Amino acid sequence: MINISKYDKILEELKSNLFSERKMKKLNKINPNFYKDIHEILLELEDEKNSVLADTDIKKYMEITKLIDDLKKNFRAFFQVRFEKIARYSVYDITDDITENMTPEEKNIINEISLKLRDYYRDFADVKRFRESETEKPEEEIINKEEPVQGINNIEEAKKIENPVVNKSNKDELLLVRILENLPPIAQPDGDYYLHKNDILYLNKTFAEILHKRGALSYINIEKKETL
Amino acid sequence: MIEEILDKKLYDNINKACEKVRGESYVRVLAHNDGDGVSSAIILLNALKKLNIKFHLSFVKSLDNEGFRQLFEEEKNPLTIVVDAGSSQIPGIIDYDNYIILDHHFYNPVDGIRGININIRDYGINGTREACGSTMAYIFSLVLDESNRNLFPFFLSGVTSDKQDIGGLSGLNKTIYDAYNTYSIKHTLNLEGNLGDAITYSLDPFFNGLTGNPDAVRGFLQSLNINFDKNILDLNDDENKVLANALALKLLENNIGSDGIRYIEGDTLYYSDLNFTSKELVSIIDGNSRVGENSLPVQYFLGDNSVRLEMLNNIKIYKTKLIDYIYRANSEITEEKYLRYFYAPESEMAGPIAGAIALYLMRPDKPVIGFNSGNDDIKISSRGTRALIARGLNLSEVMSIACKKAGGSGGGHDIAAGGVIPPGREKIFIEAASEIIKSQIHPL
Repeated sequence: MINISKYDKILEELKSNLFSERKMKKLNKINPNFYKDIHEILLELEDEKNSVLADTDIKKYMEITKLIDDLKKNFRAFFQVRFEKIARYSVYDITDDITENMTPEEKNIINEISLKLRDYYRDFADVKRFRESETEKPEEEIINKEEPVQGINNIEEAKKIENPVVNKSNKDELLLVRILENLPPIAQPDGDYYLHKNDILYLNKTFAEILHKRGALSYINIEKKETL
Repeated sequence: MIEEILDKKLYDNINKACEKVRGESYVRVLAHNDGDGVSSAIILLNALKKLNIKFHLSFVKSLDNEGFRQLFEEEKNPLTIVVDAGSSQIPGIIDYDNYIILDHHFYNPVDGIRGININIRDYGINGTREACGSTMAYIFSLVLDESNRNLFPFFLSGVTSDKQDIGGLSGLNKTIYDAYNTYSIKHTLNLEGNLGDAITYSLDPFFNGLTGNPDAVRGFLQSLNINFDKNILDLNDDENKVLANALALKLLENNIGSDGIRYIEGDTLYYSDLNFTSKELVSIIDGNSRVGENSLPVQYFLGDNSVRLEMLNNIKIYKTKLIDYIYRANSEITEEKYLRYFYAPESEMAGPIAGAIALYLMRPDKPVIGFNSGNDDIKISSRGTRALIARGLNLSEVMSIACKKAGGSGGGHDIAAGGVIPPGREKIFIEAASEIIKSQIHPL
């Protein structure tokens, strides 16, 4: 169960930071754990939301999504005001007086932005560098062309792992199953299998048992109900 | 009987396809991954099961030619039946001949088709109102074997899921309904199961303030002297009248149009062999599809009772999320002169959210558009009302033209359509859509 007083405290801090950030032209000093606290409480709320959803408690679910919404709305507003300033600073050389009121996360971010901007600046201004990057393009094409080989590798790899002896055409050994998750291509003696979540198909017993052990399928027992 | 109902050319082509299927011991089935596609899959798999033909069902998510070809080629040798999709995707599999397509969507015919493409629009039947994917699957199963008539509930669930029942059945859907329905009709309030849950989870109609609020529903029913736990089918005539009036008042408080009010009651079939009403069946199929468990109802209706609870629980999970999204989207909706729009958190939800807002939460004077923005392309759903259609609105045209202008593609029905555009192009789309809607809608 979510600790509501902890939530209230974080929301109040967030609102107060938002107010100060809007009021001042420069960055305000904020609690170094500020982002960590926000992230943690959002994780807790998300877990709580999923838990009450599983219980189909619609009242609680809507209460929690409202708490999440309020927090996210205020955080978004805060983030926009705060990072508008940080983004502006990032165009210039980063000095200690710029970063002194920043949290550790913000210091990392401004450094990353600054490096990226410097790179972009060089792309525009440094003609030699620009030409070099153009000649690099064919390499990307080679990587793309290699993608289908990756699929075959998966199959080949799977061949080494699985080695059922039952043939697809042997009707006695076939089981009707529902696939519960997307699977990579799997090679079998009777052919390659491409199995997606929600597929319904017949698989030979040995292969089905392997996938069942991995929690990748559910058996369909059509003998249980006679209505259709 | 089906031979007498269908146009001779249509019957002959389906029969030709059936002959092909009868000669197989294994068939691949590809079905569109929406409620209509799932209903169609239930029909086809049961029909194949009866013939002792083994199958592999997959759902089609990607309707672009490349994605479709990839899925098709995963098993390129066996006969493949594509249902509720396929005609538009033929260019992607033009070099193959081992397929049967059963479709109702608009498509541009191409030369050099080597497989069997049965699209109901090629037989003078309106594929938007008069036949959907499940209609195609059902007539196919009947030609295969007339004893498949017991799959009727899934024909109707597909029709309802595809919104082809709005304003009453028509064309081929009506003919089939009249010929094959053996179930008794009950005219009831449009609610399912026990009243408390029925109103709390009611989406169609959506009772603003009651839906999603069990405490308010309890108080509401108490004020009417009706038991919270009573089943909707067990209400006597007086209770039915009292409740209908009170719920209609609730809808009128929201200033909604006649489309919404019309949904307060309707005809429900009770499927005694399945132990569900027709409305419940649609909720099961749609609800499970929307939470990504499309094949759970297929498993159940192939005869596996063990998944019943999980399948029914998924409806509540879906509805809980959707009701929450509807309230949130409604409070954050952006009002433009000719349309309203909102951002949906999940792409599969944008359509139902737009539908609920258009019908039950806003004045029915503008269509509602829902965007889903993730990391990839933006999916769009749009919904109108019958009143707007009567004034000239055609969302199929709106989505087709406006999406194209924004660098994407779209289409669908006059009352409900969808599309995809690249990220960041919403403004271009909204401006284009507004212009088209302005030109379509004539004053009252």
